[in-house]
Amino acid sequence: MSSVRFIHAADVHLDAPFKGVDATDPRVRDALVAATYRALDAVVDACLAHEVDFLVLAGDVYNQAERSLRAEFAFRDACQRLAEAGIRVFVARGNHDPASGWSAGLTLPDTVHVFSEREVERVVFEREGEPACVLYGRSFRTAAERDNLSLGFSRDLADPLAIGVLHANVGGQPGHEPYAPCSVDDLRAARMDYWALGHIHLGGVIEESPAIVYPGCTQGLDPNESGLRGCRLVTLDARGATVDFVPTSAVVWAKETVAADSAATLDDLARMLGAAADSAFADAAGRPAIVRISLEGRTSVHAALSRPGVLGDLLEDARADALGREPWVWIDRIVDHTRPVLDLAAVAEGEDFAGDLVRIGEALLADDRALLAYIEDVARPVLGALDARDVPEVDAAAVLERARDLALDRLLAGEGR
Amino acid sequence: MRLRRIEAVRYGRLAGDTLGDLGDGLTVVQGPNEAGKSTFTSLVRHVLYGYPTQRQTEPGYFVGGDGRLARLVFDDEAGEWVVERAEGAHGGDVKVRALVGTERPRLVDELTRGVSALAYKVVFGFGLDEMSGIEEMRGSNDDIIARLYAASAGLRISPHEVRTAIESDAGVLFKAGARKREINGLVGDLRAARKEAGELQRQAESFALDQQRLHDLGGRLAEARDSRDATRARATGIGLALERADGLHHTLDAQDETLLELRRERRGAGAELETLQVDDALLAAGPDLDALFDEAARCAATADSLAEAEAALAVARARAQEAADETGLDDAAREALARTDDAGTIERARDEIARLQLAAETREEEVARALGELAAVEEAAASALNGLGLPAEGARDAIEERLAAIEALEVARGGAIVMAAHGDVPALIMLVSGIAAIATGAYLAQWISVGIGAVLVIAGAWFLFRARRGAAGARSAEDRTYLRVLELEHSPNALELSRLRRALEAARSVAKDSAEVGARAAEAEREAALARDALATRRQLWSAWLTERGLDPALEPATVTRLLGLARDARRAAEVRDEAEREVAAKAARLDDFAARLAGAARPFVAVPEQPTRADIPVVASRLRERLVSARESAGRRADLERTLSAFDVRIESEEERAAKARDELREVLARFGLEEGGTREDLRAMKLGADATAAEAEAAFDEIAQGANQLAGRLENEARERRGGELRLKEAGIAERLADAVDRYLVLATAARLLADAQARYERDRQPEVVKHAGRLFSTMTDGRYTGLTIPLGDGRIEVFDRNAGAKTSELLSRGTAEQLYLALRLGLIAQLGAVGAGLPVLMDDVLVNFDPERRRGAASAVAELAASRQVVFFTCHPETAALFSEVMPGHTHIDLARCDR
Repeated sequence: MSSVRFIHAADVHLDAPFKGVDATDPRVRDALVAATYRALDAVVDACLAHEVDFLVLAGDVYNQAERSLRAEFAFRDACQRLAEAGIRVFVARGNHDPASGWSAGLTLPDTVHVFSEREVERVVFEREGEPACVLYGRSFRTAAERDNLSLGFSRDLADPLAIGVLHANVGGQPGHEPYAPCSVDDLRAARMDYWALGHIHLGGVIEESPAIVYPGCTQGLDPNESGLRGCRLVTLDARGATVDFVPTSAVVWAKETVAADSAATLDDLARMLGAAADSAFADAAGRPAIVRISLEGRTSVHAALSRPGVLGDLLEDARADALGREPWVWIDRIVDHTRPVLDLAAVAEGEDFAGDLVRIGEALLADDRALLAYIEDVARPVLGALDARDVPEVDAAAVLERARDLALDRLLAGEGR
Repeated sequence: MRLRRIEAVRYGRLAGDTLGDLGDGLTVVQGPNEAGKSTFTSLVRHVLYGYPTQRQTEPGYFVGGDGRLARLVFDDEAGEWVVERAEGAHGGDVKVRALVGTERPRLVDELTRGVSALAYKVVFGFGLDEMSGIEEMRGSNDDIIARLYAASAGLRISPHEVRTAIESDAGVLFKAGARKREINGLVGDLRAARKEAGELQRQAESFALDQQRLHDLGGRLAEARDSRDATRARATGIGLALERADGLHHTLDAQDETLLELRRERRGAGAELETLQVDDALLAAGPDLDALFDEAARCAATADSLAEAEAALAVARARAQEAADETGLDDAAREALARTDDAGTIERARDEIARLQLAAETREEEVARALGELAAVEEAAASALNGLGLPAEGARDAIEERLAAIEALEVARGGAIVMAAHGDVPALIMLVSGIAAIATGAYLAQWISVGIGAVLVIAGAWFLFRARRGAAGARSAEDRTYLRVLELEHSPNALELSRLRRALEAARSVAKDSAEVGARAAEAEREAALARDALATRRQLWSAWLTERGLDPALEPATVTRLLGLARDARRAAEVRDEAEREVAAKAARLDDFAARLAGAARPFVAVPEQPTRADIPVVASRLRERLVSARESAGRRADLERTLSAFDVRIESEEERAAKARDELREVLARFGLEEGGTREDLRAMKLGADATAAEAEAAFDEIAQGANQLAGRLENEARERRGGELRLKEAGIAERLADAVDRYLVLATAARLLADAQARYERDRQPEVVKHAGRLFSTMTDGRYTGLTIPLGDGRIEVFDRNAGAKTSELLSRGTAEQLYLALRLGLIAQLGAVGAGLPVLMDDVLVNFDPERRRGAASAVAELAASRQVVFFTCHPETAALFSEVMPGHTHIDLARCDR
């Protein structure tokens, strides 16, 4: 019975910029700069360790927008390592590295096959002169590929095993560009034994039979891409596919939520932050971790947290403690979503100043247009001072609620000057 | 709750003074200057809010002295309480004690809730010095109106203060045009980082240009490679074509020569075929003749074997006769013996007689050996007995008796020796002990010890003597008895006794052997007799068997066995002879038959005798075979010539086709390079030289471009491995993250400040008018309609008043008296709107109407009286007319006279 073993990876995004992180520590900075490269190294290491037949890369190996020669050289070097071990590489281009995009034009080893962007290409993988499996793939011509490319795939019934390689958004998954949109039924119709997909950074098996798999990105690129990321080790034969996750993250992003309701003092909160760092450390499975901690709940320390500098001091202390671990944990930010301990409804019923304040807030929250105008009016001076690309997305309702809570906290708790 | 009494235990100039009882509504306290009116006002505030500390300086108040102590007595329908405060650290400790009713330890907090010390000083307990304070503090951190708003709203802190604090926090983050604010700084940092990134970008653009150059070089390199490959391919192609053309040319020359040779050889083969003669009739009979030839070969073998069979027949006949003669028996006896089947019986008889013969001989030998051994043993026994002096008769008993005597003698001697040794030991001990006692006693002059020692020596010597004497006596008696048995005259020593024992034991052994050997010799003689009897019986049985068969009874079994073999050999030789005679007859018949058939078949082709015999067969067959071989050779040659001619035709045709193809290909090769018409190989050779030169030029161009591209690619690869771009992107992301965070915090703070401002505006808009309206009415009353109203713009420190002509005027433009009326009106209006806030606090006024003209004083007094309807008011004055005025406007109020009044 014919069978093949291969690594399926995608969305390596070599040299992609990290977003939403302020890495002031040199160790953290160095690790992040090297992270996408280390992840690619881990993919190659996995290929060599498992002695696979070939490596499938389903798009977005690097970000062409960055014009990073380093990325292209690193990819070439990785392919060279695999070539020396006799391992072939099959690449389908994605929206970040389309055929029409910029390229250094490096010559890749002969063992690398980049699928055509004009049509679905069929490549036979042979073992000892006999066809072991057939790979069908197609690359993106441009970054914004809006056509359903999966419709061009059709398996030859004589193929011993068939693998489809495509960068696509199956089922219109939110949070990702709707490039190469297609449905699970479209993929089923092609009668492949395994669909090696890319584009969705959170990996997962969409279908068991035939196997339709997103391996996820090899390295999380921002705080939203938390948890271990990696590639998939696939053993495929006529009975189906066995898919195993192989972690490749050089740095693990983590999100921790601290329920601060029970915190009576800032010391209590500091202990909770330590526990959150411990949790991130444990989840990172021996890798460096960058954790963003969200403080939630109604707590009596809310007012103290709103004082200037307090949150920053907490962060510095927690960071120093977390960085002492081996491997280190970097607390990226502590986001204060705590609320004051008060009954807003009761306050709103009062015919007094605090009641007026709450009612003003409620009226604005009930009128989106008025709320937006209100916040824009407040924000105009500061946003006007920023470059257009730095103007953040403002959640007007959240800003208003936090502002209301801040004012009430200080008014009612006497935390003023 | 009402303040009933004010008690100054120790308070400045007051000591043990009490002011009271105060009324529920208005109390006018009239007294001269220095009577303590202002002091009572301060006392109330200090008891309620604490004494000033060293840092909280207050005009006219000196910290220290003998320690102030004052009390306020409050009451209501539930009881009466004393609030007492003694001067001390942090404003002094306050105590609340119930005079009537339950304890209310938090009474001071209840009374002052919502009213700060400053607010109390300005609004509730004020004199002329504090009158303008209500305006001076507008818009400041001590905005009394704002504080009282907050207090009326149930807040402990002024919204204005909160807003100011939040605005301050926001101001730390951002201020338009500033540089040192956090956001402003981060914006600057971000721009700096991007500037640096811009520099990198420019480098990157250069990098990209170089990369483009590399790309272009790659394109040129590809073109050069194509050109090189194309020119090289063209030169190679021409070269190959030239080689091919030369090859074809040579091929055509060789083919011409080959064709000439082939045609010549074909002609020779045709001439030979025409002259060749073949006997086809003989060839047609060939297969039958071949069969006869095969049979003739077999007949030759048969003739040979017939001769051999005839020779073998003669031998067999002689052998049969010889075998019959060898038995020496007549034919009948020989035949009977040959047919017998008792060979087994003969062999068993032979074997058994031989075995019994051997057994008889063996037994005879054993008898002889036993008799010899017996003679030797008897001689040894006689010699041993002679040595001991013993007779042969009864020798064994005598030997045993003497051995017993020797053994007894040895036992007796051993016991005596042991006994003597045992008896000597205690005697020797006694002897040695006595000698030691004598020696010790003599040395120590202990004569008793010497005496005891002497006794011991004597006793030991006696016992030793007796033991040796007893042993010698016993030995002598026993020895004599045994010597008699041994026939010895003296007692032998141990060596002699041992020798005698060994001689006796040897004699006993020889005597025993003699008896045993004699028994064995008798047994051997008995067995020899039995063997001889068995042999004789078997021979008798054998002789009977021979007789029964007519044979000589004296014949040995071995002889009969040999005769049986000879008789059987003679019978087999006769059978061989008979078989040889049958074989000779059969072979002679087959040869005669074949000679007749061969002659019939050969007669048409060769000469054959009329009556052929067996001897003619080889001759006839040989002649006929030679004739047939010759005919077949002629036929084979004819076939060979025919095939040769055909092969020549094929080869000639093939060579002609190849030559035609070669000529076509040569034309095609030349045509491929434009040499269709009149082109030659030399033209092609010239073309090859030109193509080689062009290819060399393309190769050089390619090498030059490749070298440049490799150098540039190497440099770019080194630069590409730099990580600066990644670091810069990370730095930019970090600053952007911090900026976003700061902007977020700023937005929350700014929005909070805005919310507070809006809430404050709403509060002032919706609720302040009551204060302002009330104050306006009071102000109008006090000014007798000169001014009709007032307003307090939001967020502004100014107060504006309107005259009856609607003219507006700010407070600083009013006369002192009018301004004080305005401030009083504001206080009264404000207090009237406070509701439950400070409801238990008395309003203390210290001669605040002094600067009013009479008309306005009356109006003001009426306003105060109006306030006293809802709150407790204590009005201090040193002016009797003011006191009288209150009596007019509010008859029934409480009046208290102090002792002196300077005014």
